[in-house]
Amino acid sequence: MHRPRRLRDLLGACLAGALSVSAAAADPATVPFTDRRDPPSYRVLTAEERDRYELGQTVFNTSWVPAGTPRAGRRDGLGPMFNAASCDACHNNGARGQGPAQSGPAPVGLVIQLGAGDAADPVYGHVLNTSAIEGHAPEGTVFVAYTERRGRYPDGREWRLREPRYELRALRLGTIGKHSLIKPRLAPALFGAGLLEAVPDAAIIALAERPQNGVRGQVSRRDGLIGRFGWQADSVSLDEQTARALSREMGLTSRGAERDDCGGADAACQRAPDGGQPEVSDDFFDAMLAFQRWLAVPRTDVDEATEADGAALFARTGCAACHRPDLPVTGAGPVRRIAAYTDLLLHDLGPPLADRGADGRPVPTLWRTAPLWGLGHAVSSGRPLALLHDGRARSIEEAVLWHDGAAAPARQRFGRLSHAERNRLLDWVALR
Amino acid sequence: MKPLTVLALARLTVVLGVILPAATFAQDGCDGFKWDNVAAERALFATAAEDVRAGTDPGTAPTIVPDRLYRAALSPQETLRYAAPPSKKMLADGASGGLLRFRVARAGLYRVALDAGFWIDVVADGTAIPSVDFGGSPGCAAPRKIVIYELPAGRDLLLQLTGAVSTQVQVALTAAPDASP
Ligand code: HEC
Ligand code: HEC
Repeated sequence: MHRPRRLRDLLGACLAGALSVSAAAADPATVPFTDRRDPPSYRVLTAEERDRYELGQTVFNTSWVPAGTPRAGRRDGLGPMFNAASCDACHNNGARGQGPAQSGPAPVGLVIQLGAGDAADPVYGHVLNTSAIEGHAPEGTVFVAYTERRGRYPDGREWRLREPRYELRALRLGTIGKHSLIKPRLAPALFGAGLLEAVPDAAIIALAERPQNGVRGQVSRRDGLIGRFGWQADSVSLDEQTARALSREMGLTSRGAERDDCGGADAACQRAPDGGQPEVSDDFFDAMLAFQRWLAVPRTDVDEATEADGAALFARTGCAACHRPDLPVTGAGPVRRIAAYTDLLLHDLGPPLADRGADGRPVPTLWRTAPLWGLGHAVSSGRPLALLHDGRARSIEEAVLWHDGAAAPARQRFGRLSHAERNRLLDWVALR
Repeated sequence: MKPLTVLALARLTVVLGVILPAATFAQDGCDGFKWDNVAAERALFATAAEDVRAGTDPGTAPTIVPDRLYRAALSPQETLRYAAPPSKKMLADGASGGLLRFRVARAGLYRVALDAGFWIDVVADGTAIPSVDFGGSPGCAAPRKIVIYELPAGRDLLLQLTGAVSTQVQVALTAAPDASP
């Protein structure tokens, strides 16, 4: 489908790799992932840094076991309620979680958060824990049922989407709090997370003050800090996000979260024995942060023949107003600017994507522009794609078709492109 | 302007029901696999397992055959000598593991099913073969996890078990059904 990379081959031969041969290849944030199981750092690490990175990766991959497991040493304290026993179970080798293939039980990487705003659900806590250690019962199970939606582009070609409905079953502590929203969230890829953290606050604020194409994003703020992680950018740092994951999704305490995410009504969870104070040592916690901070973005070879045309189409269609191709970073070694294709700002993409209350009604929801870098890695993984915050989109095209609200004009422009142009745009996005 | 609004279309289009009725979901926790065709593994895990002691190095690995359920006794992981380091870096505190040997007559996709969520590698000539796909059903032990590999025919292969919490695990190897992965 993609033409031979003649220009680059030629240049490559001339320059013998001494000079970078394309904008993408020059991007020091990206590195070829020769072994997907062993994601590299974006910069050369010192021996001491490398040890920390590898320890962090090791802890990230480790399956934790219940407190009191014989000989478990440094890896006990899981649960009593949890969703997965390792970070890697949801973010496999740092990549995004696998979405549901079809209607059925939700896969482990698709988590149901409960609550309203920053407040947890009064009964179940922040996350519905679908697993438990022996002697305890999970909080409930999650089923997703898809309904097919069909429609046509202005040129008459048909498209199909699948719309999810979430059912919480076997809820052990009764119904969820009446003000709680049901917030399905698929584990995102972690590639380049440290670089997103390295974007200066001022750059994010400046983007919010300079709307492009009439699109005005909102800064995610909490306690004077700027949120940038999670699908709603409600987490202000990797430190906070890691502590949250440990306590909410794994039942592990750490210096950032001294308690498990037990529901307010769950005495058995609150009484359960612990695997140390905290269960995850500071040493392990810091190593996991180092791993995430230095994790590179997988490089996908671009098609030199169509790269400029694709970028222009992306901008002309209005995608780049939110998915910004260029952000500054500070304190990230050789990396000065990143092409993450996000503005780290929040946008309302309309009712179709919004979270729903227990009554099934959509509630206005603000989403962080999802970074598009690393998409090529997901596309070439051989596994089905699962895009958007709940993995409902099975292709880049489906993801675009779900854009509504602030992104409706861009989606409409996308729809009015010729079939060939649409494909060129989608192919270009698939190589990010 | 031709409205492309998803909402508007959602209201207009006929809903083609792909919602599975709740009754089709079994209640034993073993309904969570992303593949429809786990019947072979489910049936094997309902049979009586054959006991084996997993090897502590490639030389002591006993031979297993496809389409049979095994209960493998494991050893403390720090006492093992693997043919290749486990392809996933993990803390091995308190972990058990072992090695099993097998061959397949025909090249193709094979699935290894496990009763718990520990790590496995299939090693050929000292190199771990990357897995094609994996999946699991939390809450199910019969099986809990399935990993798919593309395997060569007629070669000595080692199944390396690592990071198990229990000192005994159940394992079965089957040729993947055609529709898989
Ligand atoms: C049960 C699945 C699961 C586990 C286990 C899990 N995560 Fe996550 N992770 C998620 C989900 C879901 C999100 C999205 C959360 C949101 O949008 O609020 C997420 C988001 C993140 C993010 C934010 C990325 C971004 O760009 O927005 C980071 C960083 C992260 N997780 C790190 C970790 C670490 C480190 C661990 C282990 C300590 C871990 N996660 C364990 C499911 C999981
Ligand atoms: C108004 C801002 C905005 C515009 C304009 C916009 N997007 Fe998005 N995009 C978002 C947000 C916000 C999300 C995350 C939504 C969600 O997950 O529910 C997103 C998600 C995506 C995703 C899924 C990424 C992932 O990791 O799952 C793709 C692909 C995408 N956009 C492509 C495009 C393309 C192509 C265009 C132009 C036709 C476009 N977007 C225009 C804001 C925008």
